[in-house]
Amino acid sequence: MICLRKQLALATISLLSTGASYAEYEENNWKVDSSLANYTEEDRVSVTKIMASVNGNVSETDNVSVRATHDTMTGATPTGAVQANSVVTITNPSGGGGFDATGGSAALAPFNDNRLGLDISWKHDHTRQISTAYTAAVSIESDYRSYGASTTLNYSTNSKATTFSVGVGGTADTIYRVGGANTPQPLSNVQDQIFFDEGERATLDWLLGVTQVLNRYTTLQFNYTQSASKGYLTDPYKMLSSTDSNEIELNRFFEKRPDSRARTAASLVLAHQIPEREDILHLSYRFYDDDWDIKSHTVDLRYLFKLGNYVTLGPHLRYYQQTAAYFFRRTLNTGEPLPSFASADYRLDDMTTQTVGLGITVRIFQGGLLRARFEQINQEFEQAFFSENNIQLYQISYQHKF
Amino acid sequence: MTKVTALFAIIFVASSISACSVFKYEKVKAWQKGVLAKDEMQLRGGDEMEIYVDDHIYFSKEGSTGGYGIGAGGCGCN
Repeated sequence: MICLRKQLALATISLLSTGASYAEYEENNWKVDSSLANYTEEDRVSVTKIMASVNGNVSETDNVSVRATHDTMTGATPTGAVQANSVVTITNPSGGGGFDATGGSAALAPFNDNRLGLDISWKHDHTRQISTAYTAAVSIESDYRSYGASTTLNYSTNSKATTFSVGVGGTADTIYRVGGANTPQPLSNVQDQIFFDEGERATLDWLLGVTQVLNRYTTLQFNYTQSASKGYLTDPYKMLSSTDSNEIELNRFFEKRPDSRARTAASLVLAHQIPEREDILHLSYRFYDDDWDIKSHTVDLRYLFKLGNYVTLGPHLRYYQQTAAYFFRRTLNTGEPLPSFASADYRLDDMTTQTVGLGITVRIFQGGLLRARFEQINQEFEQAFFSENNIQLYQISYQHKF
Repeated sequence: MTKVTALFAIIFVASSISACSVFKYEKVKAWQKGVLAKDEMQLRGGDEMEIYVDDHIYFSKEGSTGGYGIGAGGCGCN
């Protein structure tokens, strides 16, 4: 039952930032949200995320949102080198650096890190049909710093049935190895321990989007984005092995990626409430292509089953498939000349990711929303040494509107 | 391939259930926008905390980024 006040207010719906969507009229002005997520890879990385956000209408035409995130990351990550059979053990004179391999540990490097992130966004309605959004983001870890900002302009037709969006953004990142604050000479032999200063990269993004209301139950959005990065795009920790025909490691090199990357992505996103019920379907498809030869397809499906007035059950399915980067190599071959670029990072391999999840939402108190979900994510890789990555995600969140 | 087929079958069925109503175009009056304004009707699922975590996971563990919007911060995740 929608009260008259809400109906009148809905006539002045304002638009949100990145691509346009219909903002809910807030009877209450402020929204506080908090979330705890635990991400665990089988035998590898674990991450605990704590997030908190505040969102509010600071005036009739302005909405501001601030979100803080803290991540704790532990575990071991694949280096890209072979799993040890017979391995060279190297340390430098000071005892640090190099690598030390016993059993399978050459292929995995332990790490322990924290990340602090802050995102701010401000949405401003200039007129009934024109709005702008500005975002700024900071992310800091012991081996990484990132600063980003973006601005988006949204224009709606008079009936607000169609909204056009254009946006531009940029990011500046500094990347280095923890402790040394340095980066290795790309494709240098790990034994030689040659290091340079911190790596820097800059990225420019732009977006064009159209959002169309098809009917009272359905919104469809199309986004087209391009991104150009330049600078240090290599991972300062990742290595690859040079092996003989039996894949026995004889040498180890730091990886090297190109110093530029141009990406294109397009997505189609649908939200639809089943007219006879209150269930909602969310379906999206994204196509991605870049000049490293990675092409991917992503399909994402969420279905919200409304069980009464207070509870919603939400299964989730996602399917992702990508082709490998042209310089991805499982190993280098002893005797071949070093290629221009090479990486054994499994994230650049031919891969598929399949996600199955279930979430539940419960309305409690007056204006409170409790959510919990579990997701099982399975990745399979074509060539990389670790041929699969099995991940479990738990997340619990509570939001309150004032 | 079986999993992929199953997944697409689910999507097809889900779409078919509402196929007629999804693509029927109508001009929506201001007072008819109640459903569209719901939190759960926000694109990509409406739960910003869950979308944020998902984007972060897939940005870190896959080779593709972006395509849905602009303005997210970066990460040095391994």
